[in-house]
Amino acid sequence: MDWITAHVFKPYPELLIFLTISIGFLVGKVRYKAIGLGAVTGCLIAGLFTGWVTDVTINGTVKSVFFIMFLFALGYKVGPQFFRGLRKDGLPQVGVAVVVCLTGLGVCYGFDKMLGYGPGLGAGLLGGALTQSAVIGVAQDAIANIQGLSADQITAEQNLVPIGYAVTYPLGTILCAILLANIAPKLLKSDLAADSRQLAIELDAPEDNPDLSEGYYEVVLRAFSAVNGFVGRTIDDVEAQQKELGRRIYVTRVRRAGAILEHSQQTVIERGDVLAVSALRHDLVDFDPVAHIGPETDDAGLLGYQTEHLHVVCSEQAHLGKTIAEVRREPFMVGVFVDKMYRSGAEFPYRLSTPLERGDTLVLTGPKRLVDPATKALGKTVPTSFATDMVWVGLGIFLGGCIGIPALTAGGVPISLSTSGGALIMGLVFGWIRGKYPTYGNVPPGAQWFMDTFGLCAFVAIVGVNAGPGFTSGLSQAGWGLLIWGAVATVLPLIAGLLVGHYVFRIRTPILMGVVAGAQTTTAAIGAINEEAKSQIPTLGYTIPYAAGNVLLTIWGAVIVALLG
Amino acid sequence: MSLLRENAVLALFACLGIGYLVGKLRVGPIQLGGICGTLIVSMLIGAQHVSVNSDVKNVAFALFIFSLGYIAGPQFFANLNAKGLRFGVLSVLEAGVVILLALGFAKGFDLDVGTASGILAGAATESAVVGTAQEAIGKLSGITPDQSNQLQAHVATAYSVCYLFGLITIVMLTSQLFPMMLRIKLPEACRELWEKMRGGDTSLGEDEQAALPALVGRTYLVSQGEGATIATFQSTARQLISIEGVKRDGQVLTAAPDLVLRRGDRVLVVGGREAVMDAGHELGPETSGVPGLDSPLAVQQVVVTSKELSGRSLNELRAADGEYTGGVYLTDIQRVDHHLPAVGETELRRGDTLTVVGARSKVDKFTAKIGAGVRQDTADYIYLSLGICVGVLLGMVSVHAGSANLSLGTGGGCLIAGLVFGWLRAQHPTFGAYPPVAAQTAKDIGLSMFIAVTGLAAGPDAGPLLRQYPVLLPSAGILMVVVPALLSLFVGRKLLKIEPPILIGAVAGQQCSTPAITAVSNVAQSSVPMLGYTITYTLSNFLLPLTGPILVGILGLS
Repeated sequence: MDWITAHVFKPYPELLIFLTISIGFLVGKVRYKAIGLGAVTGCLIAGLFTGWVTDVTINGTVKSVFFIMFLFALGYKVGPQFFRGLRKDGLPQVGVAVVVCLTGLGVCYGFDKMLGYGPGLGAGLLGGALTQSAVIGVAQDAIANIQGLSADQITAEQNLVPIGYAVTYPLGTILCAILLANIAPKLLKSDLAADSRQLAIELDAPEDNPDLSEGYYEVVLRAFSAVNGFVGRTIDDVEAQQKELGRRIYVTRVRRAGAILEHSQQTVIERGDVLAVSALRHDLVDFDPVAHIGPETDDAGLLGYQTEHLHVVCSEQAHLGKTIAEVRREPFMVGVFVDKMYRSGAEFPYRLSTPLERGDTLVLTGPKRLVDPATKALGKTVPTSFATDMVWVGLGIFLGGCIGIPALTAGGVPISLSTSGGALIMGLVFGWIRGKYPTYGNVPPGAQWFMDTFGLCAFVAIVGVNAGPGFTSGLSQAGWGLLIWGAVATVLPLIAGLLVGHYVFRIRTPILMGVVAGAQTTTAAIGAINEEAKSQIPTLGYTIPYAAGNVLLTIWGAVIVALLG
Repeated sequence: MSLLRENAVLALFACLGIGYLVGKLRVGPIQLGGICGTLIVSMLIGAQHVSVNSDVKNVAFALFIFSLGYIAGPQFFANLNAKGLRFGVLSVLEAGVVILLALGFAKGFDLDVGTASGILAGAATESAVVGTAQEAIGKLSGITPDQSNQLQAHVATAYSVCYLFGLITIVMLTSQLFPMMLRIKLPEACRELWEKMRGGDTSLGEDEQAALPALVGRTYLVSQGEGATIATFQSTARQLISIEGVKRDGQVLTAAPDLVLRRGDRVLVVGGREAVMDAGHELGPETSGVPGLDSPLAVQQVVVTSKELSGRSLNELRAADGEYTGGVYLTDIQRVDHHLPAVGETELRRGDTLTVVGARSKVDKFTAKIGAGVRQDTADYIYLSLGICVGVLLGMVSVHAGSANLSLGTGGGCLIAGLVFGWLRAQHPTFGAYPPVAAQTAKDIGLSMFIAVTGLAAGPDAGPLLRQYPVLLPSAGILMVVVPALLSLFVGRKLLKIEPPILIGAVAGQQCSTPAITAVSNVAQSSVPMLGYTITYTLSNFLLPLTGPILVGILGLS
């Protein structure tokens, strides 16, 4: 072992990092029902193990690079939601999030004082019990800035953070999931599945697929030779007449004497023209086009279209706040389908009644010719290129780090955001700006994946490796108390959040479960809740509190260190 | 500056941000590019003695080069055949000539090994060489840490200067000078070649390329069509349509092949417009849509993995067996990371990514036959991390050849591991997912971080080296591009008889120069040159990084 360490792992620390990540993901796959250990915890445990075996220390800069990328990406992802949550309609949900996070901080601080934990173990307890892994990095940064500690003490305290986290996190996740998916609904006298179904009906979404009910794929495009009707009238005139009759029939292209005409609403239709007609199918069947226009023909050149998928970020003021159903009624949406909707980086289970918000990404599909104008009407196309806007990311992280450095003195205790906290804030701001002006700062999903998941896992793996050698001594120092009090610290904030959400803000139970899971940033719990509810409805409450919870809990990492330091 | 000195992480990201901003500068048709910008900015910042730990560099480099290999893997192995090897001659020429030239410069002007490999890396516009050469230098026997740092800094400095000039030269050569030398007008030559390749099929004109055979779905009320099973009905329609759903008495039935249609059934028919219109005549009157019956069109990206289909065009497939190609329409073919013309004439290769549109059941059938669907949302981290581990281990193996000590190094090891793992994945696409978007990003971020750290470390030594060789470096950069490119042009045209537009693409590819092929495609207004580019690009991607350690091994410390 020593030989391997000396000749393989010490000179090639990158080997150790990737080995740890690989083991970590394998460990993270262990799951029971919907609750898995998760890759992050898996990597931490794997890191503690490989670190303990090899006794190699990996340079801190590597760790910081990954961590700061992760935090920036996190902020970037939740930015639009975060700022929206600060407005009126999101306030109850943010309120719950604040209550959960504040209770969590209070409870953890109380336990830390009671058990005499230092800043390292205290922050670890906070991070693990409230299932927020970003706390590890922020707390470690903050510990490095504590005045009056020797370098050895700093390292020792820093290494206690992941140990505290590793002990409390698994139980924290499991408890949170069980409480919210199985116990809390019963206490609130609610049948999660039935209530979700009921709520889904109220939100006018009878099926999971929002498009089936309204004959959404009913928009058709066909070619007719104009011999029986429409001759001598302008396109505008024809369309207006049909609209008055309550039918939505549009002439989208005209072929005359073999050539396709430049489209204009004022084109006068001549006998023998081939018209491309786009309409709702039942309108068209109703209208009986063969009798009123002429025989149907197959004209691939006229109708032939290239299906296109475009990602569009909603930014056009005129359409913000409209529901999907309303938007679909707009003339420019004829022949264009809403395929998917992404909100704050995740696919959002939208309903017909879901209002569009600034920064929502819609995936539109349909003929290129129709999709392009629809895209322009709604907002800006997201370049689907793979290129990440590194200017944006690099400068964002740099500026964020800069604002994180200055320390404010609050009651004699110097509190600084730390560079990583600053990157989070700057990520929020940049993500928000990007939501408003979506032509800048393209960070494609792959890049998000890289910075977000991979960044965090690599960071946590390195943290584990560095803390590994001290694991056993740290654990014996903390004792069983850590496990038990960690569990209590998980449950109390959840209960506070449930009470406030139920009695003060009167949030409906299925949504409330999502809200509380989001506030404690326990992604595993939302999976368990959805499974129990047999519905995606709880996710509707998840995004805003998740954004708020992420920001608050991450900053708590620095706060608890300042309080205990 | 003390801010950056104390916070290495901030320095790193400042380099990336400002570097990419500088990289956006554009001179005529040539853009500097983010990587070069990052290198320049980081050398300027590095001159103020800001440094970042080299572990960051190692991790980023391993990630970058593994992803590079992974992306190129399927293509690389697919090109190890007679046709690919014909082009491979060009890549081998390139690698051989640049090594010889670099050796010549080193001996003639008494350059140190660092500067020489920097010239090699820069002139070949191949950033990976920086990493592999630096690694090899670090492992030279009898080198002191100071020497090693200085030589490694020289690699980066020489690289940055030569890269600038090499980039401009290759872009000008391939897009402007070569067509003149071959006495062709690139756009016309491409069109001619294109028409020749398309042969007698005149059904699709150039301007109709975008026009898909429109796929429609219509519902009909079965009246005259009663009594037939779905299978017989579909075969009378020559498999050009498919029945995707049947609704009987308010119940949606599965459209099994042996289901017998009854009067009053409402059926959803999907297929080409004309075929559906014909089928409608056989079935009965059209009705408005039936809730629950509609099936939306599915768009699916498919990776070609089937061995027997590789090398055949889509038209051949369609002619040979309409069973699984019926009702599926192709909208895009992507090879390595470049788009090829999406028409029936293009030959498929293993590892190509096709985008197809059609009814869900047809698309699934097609996918199962030719390969595997691409999932964009997950990556198999276990597979990837293990791959990198294998690569690093592989790189540790060293071979003693005479006095020189050759080893692949992390770079070479990870590159080979990436190629193999990417290839394995293409063979058995059930595991080891690494979506192209993610791989591309990991490659880009990995490379730019690696370059930024390298630049920071090289900063302090850059000034003296530049003052020492103010003329040599730029002219070396230009010469090392011109000589192999001209040689390839001659060999490719006279000996290998490659068509001029494809040859020009291949020359851009042998240098792995994406800016060059972009410029060529713009001038040609066609993607024909891309056909040559992709082959030499994959081969050179493998060969060029290995030139670094070879050069270092030959030159040694002398």
